[in-house]
Amino acid sequence: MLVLAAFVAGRYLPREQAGSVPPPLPCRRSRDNSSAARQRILLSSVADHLDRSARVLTDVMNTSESRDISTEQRWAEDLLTTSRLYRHDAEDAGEQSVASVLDDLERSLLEIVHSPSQISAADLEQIRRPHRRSGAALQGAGVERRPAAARERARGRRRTADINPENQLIAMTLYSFYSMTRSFLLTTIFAALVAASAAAQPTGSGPVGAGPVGPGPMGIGGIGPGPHMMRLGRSIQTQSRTGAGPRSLETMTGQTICMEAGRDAIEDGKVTTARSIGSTS
Amino acid sequence: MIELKSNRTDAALYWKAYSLAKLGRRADALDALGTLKQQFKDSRWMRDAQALEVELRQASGQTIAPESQNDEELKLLALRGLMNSDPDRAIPIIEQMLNSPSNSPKVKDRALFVLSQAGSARAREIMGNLAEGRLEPRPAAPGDPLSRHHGRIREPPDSRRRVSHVERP
Repeated sequence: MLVLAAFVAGRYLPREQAGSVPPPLPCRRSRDNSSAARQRILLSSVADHLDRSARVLTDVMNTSESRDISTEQRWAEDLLTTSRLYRHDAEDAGEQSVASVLDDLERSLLEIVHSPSQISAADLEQIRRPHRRSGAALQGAGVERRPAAARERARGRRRTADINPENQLIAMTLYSFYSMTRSFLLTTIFAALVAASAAAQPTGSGPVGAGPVGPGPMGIGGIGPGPHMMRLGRSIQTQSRTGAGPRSLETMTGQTICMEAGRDAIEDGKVTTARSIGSTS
Repeated sequence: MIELKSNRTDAALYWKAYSLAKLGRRADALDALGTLKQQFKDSRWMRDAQALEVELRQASGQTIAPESQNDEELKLLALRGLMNSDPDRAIPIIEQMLNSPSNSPKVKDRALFVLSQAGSARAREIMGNLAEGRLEPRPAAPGDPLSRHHGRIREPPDSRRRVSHVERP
């Protein structure tokens, strides 16, 4: 009877009452909104933004003449506004390389937004030109530098198979450019996370008391702190010398988690709900 | 191009102002933008010109009042500058933007980003409120390449809570 009652209670009671109250989000628990956390939000947002931009640019670069690109223009307009915001913050955060990439992207997006929606060959050429100048159109550059006589001779020759049209090459170059930038940003974020987790390790000696009975699989370990602890010790010493305390992993990652959850809430249209919950808590 | 008075004169004026801004000649750039605003009131470049103007004025140390901007995007640009100088004034405006049902999710997303770059406890609190209000996720619009979840498998609703469990010290 008791078991049955417990089963029914467990089955029908809401989860919160059953003792599984979720812990508060890390951004609520952390007391510090460090510049490193803000920078990581910036880099992660920029990586996401470049990813989206690459999709739109690839689409525009591969479009055919006299096609309606009004949809792509709307996307580009959205990206343009976001790009401006991110660029300003990247400049303020001292991320000059990121700001420079966003500045280049902004110019390309401006060209796309202000082109006629029924794009002509000339307009398409105008959009593609900046990328060609930056080394994307490797095929055309050599041809143009040749003297007129050489060009005439070349015209008489049989053409090779056109397996890689110019627009595809530009799109590929652009995409690889953005992929590289994105990889760079993600590596930076990963490095920041690793550094944060190292700084978040507890200080002092390990657990007191005997370990498992018998030697470990590799025999007796070395005496003294391991390499990680030594590194951490040095790090803490340096921080205490400079007056800065060790940052916790919670602080470093909490803001990003909240940012992501907040963005999801916005995309899901839950902002009003968020407000009501926030005001009651 | 400007002297030719063609149908691209407004564009030429914008790019002139843009180039002058890059050269650090802010006053000249603002003059070019003034000409553009005066001669081409209905130009498609007007919004970009206004954004550039906000940027130039902020770079010159001027504070742009967000309330005076009628465009939400321009308001956010102004708020970004105000956040550095006077966060107590900027944060309530951002909060209002986040809670306004008339603003699109994209505007709110940008407002959240501006908020995330503020270093105050109040900004953190608003972000927390927003994050905790995340309930059942709605599937992203199919085929929208600008969606944050385009081509990705969305996480179940409680996955972030699990992350916070893992992170607990």
